[in-house]
Amino acid sequence: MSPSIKTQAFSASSKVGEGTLLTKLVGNADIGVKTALADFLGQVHEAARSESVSQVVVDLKDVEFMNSACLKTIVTWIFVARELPLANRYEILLDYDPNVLWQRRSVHALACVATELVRLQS
Amino acid sequence: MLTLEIGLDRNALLVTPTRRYVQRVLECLVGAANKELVERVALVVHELLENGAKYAPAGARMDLSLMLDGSADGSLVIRLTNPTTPVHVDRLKQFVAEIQAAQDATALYIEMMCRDPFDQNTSGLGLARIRAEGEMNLDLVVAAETATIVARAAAPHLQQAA
Repeated sequence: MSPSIKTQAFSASSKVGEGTLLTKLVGNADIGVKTALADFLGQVHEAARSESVSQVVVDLKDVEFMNSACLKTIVTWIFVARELPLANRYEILLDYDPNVLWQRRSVHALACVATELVRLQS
Repeated sequence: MLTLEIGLDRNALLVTPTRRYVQRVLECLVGAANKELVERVALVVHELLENGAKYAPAGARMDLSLMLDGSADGSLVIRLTNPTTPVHVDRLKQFVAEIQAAQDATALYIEMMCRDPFDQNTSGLGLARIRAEGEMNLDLVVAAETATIVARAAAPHLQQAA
């Protein structure tokens, strides 16, 4: 199971490898993408559980912009992941471009939502 | 230095193209030397327009204006005016008052991210993001059933692009 979505302006794909679920988001995440992104992250959660991965990497580097509603869908996903029993819990690694202001500031805020669960990589 | 006024229909499809247009105009005007300011403006414009598109009635017009004065004591002012409902005006008043009162804009932003984490609807998160990530102060002006959200920041000593 490798969740993916594709809209006119945005796409998200994933693949499993060596205990890690790698996801890549590409394009512009505005209000038209919110529902699709929420569905994708729900599928990612189910895939991470069923594959028993220890880490989910979210590559944001090719996202042009993400609005606050889409950021909130990531927050919701973090809270869902946090509800897993410790033994089944996976880490979330947000891979971002530090040269893009919204990415740098938004991912640092997201990391503060669950410091025990979310790590950053640039 | 620059006054930009854009009138547009309440249509979520126009938000991203308008953000890109404003960003491009600013890039041409103040260039790479002010990349962070340009990106902050783009973020603020996007969040203001999405807020307006979400809460203005169908068929409404939204008016966006941007005034940039890059002199020694210069400033940046972005305004979005749109008709909305009394219920939303009350919500806006609460959110803006909370944001204005916050000692730590980033702490409030993170707290609002975590507030009702499974509620995907009304959160005020876009306004908190304007304050925290966009580093702009917020004001709200209400006249009848029209709301104007005003975002302001200092913008001194801006160099124009060559």
